[in-house]
Amino acid sequence: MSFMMVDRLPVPKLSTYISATVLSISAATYYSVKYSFDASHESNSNIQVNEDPTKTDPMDVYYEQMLNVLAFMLQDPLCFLVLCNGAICSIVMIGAVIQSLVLGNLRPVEHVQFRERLWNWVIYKFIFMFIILKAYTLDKVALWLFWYSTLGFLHLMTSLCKDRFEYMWMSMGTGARVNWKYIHMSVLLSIGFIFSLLLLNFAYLVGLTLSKHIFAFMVIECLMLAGSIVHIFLRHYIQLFHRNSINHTTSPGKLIYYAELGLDLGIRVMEILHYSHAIIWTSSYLTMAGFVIFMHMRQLISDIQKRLQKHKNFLWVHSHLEKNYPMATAEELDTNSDNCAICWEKMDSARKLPCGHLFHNGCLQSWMEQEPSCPTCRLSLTLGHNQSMPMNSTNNGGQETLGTHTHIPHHFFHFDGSRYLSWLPSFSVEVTHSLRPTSQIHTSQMETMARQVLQLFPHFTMHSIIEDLSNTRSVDLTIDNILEGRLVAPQQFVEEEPVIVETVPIVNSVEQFINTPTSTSFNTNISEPAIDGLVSMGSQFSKSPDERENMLRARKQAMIMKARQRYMSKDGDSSSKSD
Amino acid sequence: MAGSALRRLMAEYKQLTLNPPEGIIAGPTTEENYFEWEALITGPEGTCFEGGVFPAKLIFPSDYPLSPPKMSFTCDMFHPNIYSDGRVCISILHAPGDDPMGYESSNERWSPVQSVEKILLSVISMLAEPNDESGANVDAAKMWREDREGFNKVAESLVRKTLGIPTSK
Repeated sequence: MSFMMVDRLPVPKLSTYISATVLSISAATYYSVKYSFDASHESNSNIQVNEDPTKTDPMDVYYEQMLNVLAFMLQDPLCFLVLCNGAICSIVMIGAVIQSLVLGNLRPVEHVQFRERLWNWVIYKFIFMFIILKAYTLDKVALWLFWYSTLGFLHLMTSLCKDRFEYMWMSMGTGARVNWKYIHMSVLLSIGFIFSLLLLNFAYLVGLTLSKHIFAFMVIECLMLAGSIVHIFLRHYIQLFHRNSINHTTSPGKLIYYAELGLDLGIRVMEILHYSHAIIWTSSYLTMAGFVIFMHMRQLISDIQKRLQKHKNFLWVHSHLEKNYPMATAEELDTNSDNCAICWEKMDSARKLPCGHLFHNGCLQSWMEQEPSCPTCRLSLTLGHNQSMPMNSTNNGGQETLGTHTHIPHHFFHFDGSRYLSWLPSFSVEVTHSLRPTSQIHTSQMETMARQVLQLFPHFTMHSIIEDLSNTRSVDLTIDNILEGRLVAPQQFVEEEPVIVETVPIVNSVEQFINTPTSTSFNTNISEPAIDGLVSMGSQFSKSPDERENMLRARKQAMIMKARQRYMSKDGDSSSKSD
Repeated sequence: MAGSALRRLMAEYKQLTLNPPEGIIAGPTTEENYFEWEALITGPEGTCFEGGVFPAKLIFPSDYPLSPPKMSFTCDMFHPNIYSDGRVCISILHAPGDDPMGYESSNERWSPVQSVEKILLSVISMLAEPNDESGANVDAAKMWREDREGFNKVAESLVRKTLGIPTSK
């Protein structure tokens, strides 16, 4: 959803929500028990005379009363809504359990994104439910609440998995624990997929009896969910395969490229169809809902255009490479013992440029999509290149959001109805377009952006910056927000630079060491040869991540230590000279 | 593809560990995230930054090496080509497409054959010879041109600060 109307709405704490739900349910039950008991008491007083002696079993009476209460609750609209809320609450609880089992704690960025998605979903579907589907009767409300809460639950779980997958790509970690995580997440995604098929079945059973239009809505929603799950699977399992494959083929297969392109476009086209269907069916062209949906569709169409442009560029580069630059022969590969300069890996096959440089076909292709020149010698490779071809359209989302100022993320609309008809209302709406948060702003990019801001304003917390970034989606806008005082710095300073933490003990030792009267003789804990050894220690590159990390830290400390000693000794020399 | 970026970063880390260039240490801040590195750069000898060890952060895009990383010093710096927030402004870190200053020729820009090592070496040479045409820090550029003595004093105090040695004698 690229539609955001409410900024920074707080999500109530899970425990608060659950206790509120439990309270409301018990209140409703008490109310209905009391009410139905009164009612049955009244009627019972008439029948009591000819009461059947066989019916005095207390369990039966109890059971009957339960049924009475339940029937009453289903009839009373307020109680009914309370029950619906209870059902949603149980879904939320299931979600929380699954999240803690499969994903563990959420990182702050994931938390922020999750919250945003949740609100988008709730608001969007609320509009949809009451304006497009016109769910005014209780049974309809129940149906749609069930439908959208299940669907929303699956959607949110899917996007959480997607974020987590992307984050896991950032780390090098392999091994049993990571593999377990992958397995957990794939099981979760598969369950999601099965559920989306079940929902499809439900749509067939229920939707079709209601109306064809409703059936179509339900089917498209199911298909979109299933499509996004397949998309995640495809992307990440290819990467997994790609990373683990020993004979590294640089270009992902053509089939995979087209499958991904197809899914990307397919999901968006489906969404557009879905919305246009909704608008045409309810003929709500000029309503608020219609307007909101039109805005969303415009965003979708521009996404599709961008994607197609990227594809066009890909095709052009592909054919250009095929036509003009031959693959290197086996002899050429033999004489050239270097690795591919782009990915630093061995070349089993390579494409040769006119300047004589060799690269993997896939590596060259992805570079050429960005800049048509030889990476090594910058020879321009635009022979016969159609100048109208947009070369930089392929920059990834992060680049776009970070670098360009041409993208205007806020649109302010003012509709002055009285200019057209006297009774039409006037309104202003601010729509914040996000750049398709699910596909373009990755968690890592968000973190990267947040770090940039954090470097400028270290007194802000990472969390508050990410929160703001998730709304603005631009470093510049967030910085503006801070400068103009819209984002208030928290009282305490939470984020600490790890560097400072590391160097603190050394600083202390050096201060002591400076304070000692014999400051010209070096009595540090580490002797100079040992430090030398650490600094030049380059012969080992440990296989274990922890060891690598410790070693790097040790080397850094040693380097600082050595620099300090050198500086002090020189300082001592110069001061003794000046004396 | 993040996978190939990761492999390349791993290869670079390995190379930088096995054959570390003089005065440079660089590696991922944590093994959890290979797309964020921390580097220590020694001030080049014979310059006003001599003896200092300057920490910097490198943040890599997911399509590295097709796009350049972003680099910024995490200590206080005073240099014509370093913004006051620590960001480093040198041509090797600029993608061929964008040209914020409008004068860099494209053969000094980023290309996938560049590497962390080359970036850090260029930063060292930038510390030694500031390019006072690019005005990342106008005050520093002005001081560098007009009041070299004063500039050297500021640099000296920065060096002491990074080493944790108090300025008072």
